[in-house]
Amino acid sequence: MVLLQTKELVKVYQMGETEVKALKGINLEINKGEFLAITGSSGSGKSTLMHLLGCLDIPTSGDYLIEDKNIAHMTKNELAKIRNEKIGFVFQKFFLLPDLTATDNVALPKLYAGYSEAEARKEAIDILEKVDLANRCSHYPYQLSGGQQQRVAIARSLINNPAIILADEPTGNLDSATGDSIIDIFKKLNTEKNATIILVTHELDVAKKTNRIVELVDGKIISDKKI
Amino acid sequence: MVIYQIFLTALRSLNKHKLRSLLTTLGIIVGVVSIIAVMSIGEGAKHRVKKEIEGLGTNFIIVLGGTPKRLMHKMGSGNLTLKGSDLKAILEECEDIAQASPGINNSAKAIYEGNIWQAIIAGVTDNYIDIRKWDLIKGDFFTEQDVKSSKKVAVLGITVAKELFGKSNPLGKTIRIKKIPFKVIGVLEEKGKMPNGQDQDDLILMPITTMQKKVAGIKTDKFAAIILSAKEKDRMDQAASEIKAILRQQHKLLPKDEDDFTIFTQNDIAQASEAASKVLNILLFIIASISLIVGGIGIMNIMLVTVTERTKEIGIRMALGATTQTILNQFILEAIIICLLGGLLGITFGAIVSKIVGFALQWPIFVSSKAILISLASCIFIGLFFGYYPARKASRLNPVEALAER
Repeated sequence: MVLLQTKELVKVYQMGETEVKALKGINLEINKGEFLAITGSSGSGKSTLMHLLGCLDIPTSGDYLIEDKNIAHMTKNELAKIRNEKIGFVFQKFFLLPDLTATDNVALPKLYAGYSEAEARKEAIDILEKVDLANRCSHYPYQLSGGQQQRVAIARSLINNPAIILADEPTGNLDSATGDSIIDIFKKLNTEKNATIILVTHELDVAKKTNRIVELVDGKIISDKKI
Repeated sequence: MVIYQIFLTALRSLNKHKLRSLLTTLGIIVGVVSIIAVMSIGEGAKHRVKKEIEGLGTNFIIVLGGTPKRLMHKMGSGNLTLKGSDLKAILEECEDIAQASPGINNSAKAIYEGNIWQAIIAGVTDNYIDIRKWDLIKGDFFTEQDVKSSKKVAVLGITVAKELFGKSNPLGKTIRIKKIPFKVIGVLEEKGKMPNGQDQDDLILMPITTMQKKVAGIKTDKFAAIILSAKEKDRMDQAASEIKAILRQQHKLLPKDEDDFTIFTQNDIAQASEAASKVLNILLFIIASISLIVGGIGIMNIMLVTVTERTKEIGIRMALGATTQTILNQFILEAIIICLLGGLLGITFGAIVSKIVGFALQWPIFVSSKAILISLASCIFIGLFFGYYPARKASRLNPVEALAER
């Protein structure tokens, strides 16, 4: 079943007088339950693609369908709703809110979805248990190690049962052993829960742990192969 | 987004920058202190003035000799242009008047043994104490008989009694005024200071006839004031205009002539002091408004800094699904919370300042719930108004750019 589909996706940035074509027509189909990596060197357009796939930005032209919904012409608030419901983000630098405990960080998307504080927290604690952080629920981010922070971020990405988990260089700020453990979590989510996971990374080692590698060069897909 | 989480975020943000937050809220604090102080002191003053005006007597009316212009600033001491026949005519013709006493005011030195004290001396009749609703703490007031026989007796205000006699009992002692001996027969209860600072207890009362013949040396039956009380409060203004007509007739004034007397009623005095306090209140209200606006600009400034500092946080929240409205609400609420915290500090300081002022001026102070509510409402409004622009700025950030922020 096709979950995501991009058609001739183009993104052009205006840098003063000059136009920069970051994406030059991306056609990509991702099925439910896939675990894939988008790779490429810096400047290849992979970050731009991630922003578009994550509904953080809209394309200059082309279409992007999530579960047959075209987001290319959505308003800011419609995009916010899609991000909240359909997409779970995991960032390189974790991006936890420093003023909130692990539980409150994880609960945040659920609050934005309109759930009560009590419901959101209960679920947050359940999910933190699943990433082995049951005893770190009331810790603040600065009290946690990098690996623990990233697991909190993964828990946060899962709380609204998103259609896609988008992980942007999730191991970039971690040592290799911790990084491996994070990838293992993704792998487990993929195999056990049939979660659809898109890893954006420039590290080939990391990419190789997925089931499909899409490589970008100069805003174009140059290879797309299953492993 | 849950309000208490926003509240916590705001508090932590404030806590992180304590000095900055304090300086930011200073304008709000000053504004609220002025609101509270103005209203509390104003309320106290109102209360006090009301009591003083009530203390003038029951349905009190005073007629002074002389044109209103001449008397503008010397209430209580008119010209000697009123006569016994005027008083008689008023009592006979005006049905709304209950009692009336003629009066003459002067200032003279009173001497007892080695003590000398300059006081207001006033000649009145025996019913004066009833008209003014005054009480004695010692002795008696002089009688009708004393007035008829121009007896040399005096009733002292408490200030005069203290200055001349210290702690000893003045009753039965003899004081001298303009070398004339007066026997002290009573002491009046304490009445305190007037709003203009005049000490109402710095007073010696004596029979008007004694005053006219022996102290002032007036041969004919002339006096400077008539102090009256109307039968009913509602009829006071009516009584005043009747008295006016009677006196114009008595003094044979032509229609084109100006009044050669001036009438004040208790209502007039109340209105005059209300008008005076209104001007003061407007002035202080302007000060409060200006400091609140300055405070609001401070809030706007700091919220703009906060939005810049927390761009990344805003980006994260947006990535997690916060809508523009959610971000807008959060930052407006934070601005309101900062204002309210400033407001609470302001209310506390304002109450303290009011109490100190009240203590210094010996005024009663009322920190009313109305003042507190107005202060809090102003804070909410300031937060809303000046927090809107920074909050809007925050809500319009592009999530990609916000997330890329260092």
